[in-house]
Amino acid sequence: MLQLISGVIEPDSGFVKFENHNKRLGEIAYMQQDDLLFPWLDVKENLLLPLKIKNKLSKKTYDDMIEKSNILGIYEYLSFYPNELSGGLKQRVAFLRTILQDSEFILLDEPFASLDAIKRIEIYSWIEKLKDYINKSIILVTHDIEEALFLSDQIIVMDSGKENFKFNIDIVMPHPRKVDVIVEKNFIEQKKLLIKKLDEVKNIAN
Amino acid sequence: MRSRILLTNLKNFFSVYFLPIITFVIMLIIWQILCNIGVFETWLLPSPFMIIQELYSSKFFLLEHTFTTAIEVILGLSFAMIFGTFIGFFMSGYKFLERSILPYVIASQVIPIFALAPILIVWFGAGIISKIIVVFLISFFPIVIGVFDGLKTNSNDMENMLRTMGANNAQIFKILKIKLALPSFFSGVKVASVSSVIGAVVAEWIGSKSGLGWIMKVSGPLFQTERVFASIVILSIFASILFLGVKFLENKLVKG
Repeated sequence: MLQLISGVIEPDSGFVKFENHNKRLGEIAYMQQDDLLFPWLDVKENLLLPLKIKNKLSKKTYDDMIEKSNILGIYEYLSFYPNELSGGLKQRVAFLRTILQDSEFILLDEPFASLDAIKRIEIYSWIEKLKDYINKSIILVTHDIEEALFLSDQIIVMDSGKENFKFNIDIVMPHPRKVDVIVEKNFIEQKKLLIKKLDEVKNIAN
Repeated sequence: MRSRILLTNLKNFFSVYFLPIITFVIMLIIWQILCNIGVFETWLLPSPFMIIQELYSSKFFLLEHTFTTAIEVILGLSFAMIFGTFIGFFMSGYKFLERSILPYVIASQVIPIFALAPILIVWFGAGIISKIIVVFLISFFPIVIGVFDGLKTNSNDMENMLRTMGANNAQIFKILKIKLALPSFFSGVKVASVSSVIGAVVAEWIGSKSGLGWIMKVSGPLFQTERVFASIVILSIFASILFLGVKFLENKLVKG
């Protein structure tokens, strides 16, 4: 689905439209499950790559990269190569590279699935810190209920097959969300609601 | 984190280089002792000291012929790198070229260089050109295959990611494909750098008037075994320098 939206693959029939106009490759940022950092480029070069490709590298965009790498705790690693970074740091760099593409839409395809629970929680709080600076629509695909609840404002549950759209729910929780929100009553109630709805869908399917 | 990497590199250096050097020195000492006590006849197997003496006393003579061999190797290898890269590049990009050329590139390696060298000497004379062609032929194959395999490396995910960044085919080739092909290219060049020296010596052996291969050929029957060994030492050092030079370039250009 994300490959279709991003334009990496073409639909067999039909089309993908955004607010009544077609999007072209390069206009939607897409982060895949693996970090896909270029091992021969250091962190700074990896981060600036999309800007170089789009010919948008300037003092302003460079300063923007420095500012956001500070927020994400990457600044001190700018001269490091990917093989010198931990898994969590690599994902953070890949995430920032996606953000820096300066696209209206950002697609995240299970970007934190390979990380352990502690690193994942850590990265959620980094994203929350960066949220005000991003100010873009993000579609995040995840199999993790807590990740979906913590990061999103709206959850759409989908399945494989023709009638793949199941339901959507709005998440009513103010931003910025702190990590301990997951033990709060409101979060737990929304989690219960989501699990209940998933159960209903499952029962209908069976 | 960096200091830990430095410490690991230092440990690796000792474990990689220290033991081979010690082994080499011990072998030389044993060899020298066996020659000194008469276990080996020195006209059959000269002692390390005699070889060093020969290297020193005939230094200008050996240097002149080393120069000839070095020129043959460097020119032959350079042409092989240029044409090998060119052919490998086009074969990886165009299926019909791969199907047309690859079988003949492989077949060219089946022909023993010992059979081909005399014909090349008949065609191009006993001068430097026939030697360069032999070096070219022996070095060409690993480079073509290195470039071809390197450019065929599967990189779909990275390619897709670059496309979503707005990269065109030329940018993908420059940013991704070349970099992915470099390790494979350098593997080919490293193999070629060593075999190119063998090619030059074989060609000189079959028909020439100069070069280290020629020295070995004429010195053997005259029982100047220390000169044969001196030539072998120079060839080994030259091949090692060539190999290490390629490795140095590889370390500079291939990161991660």
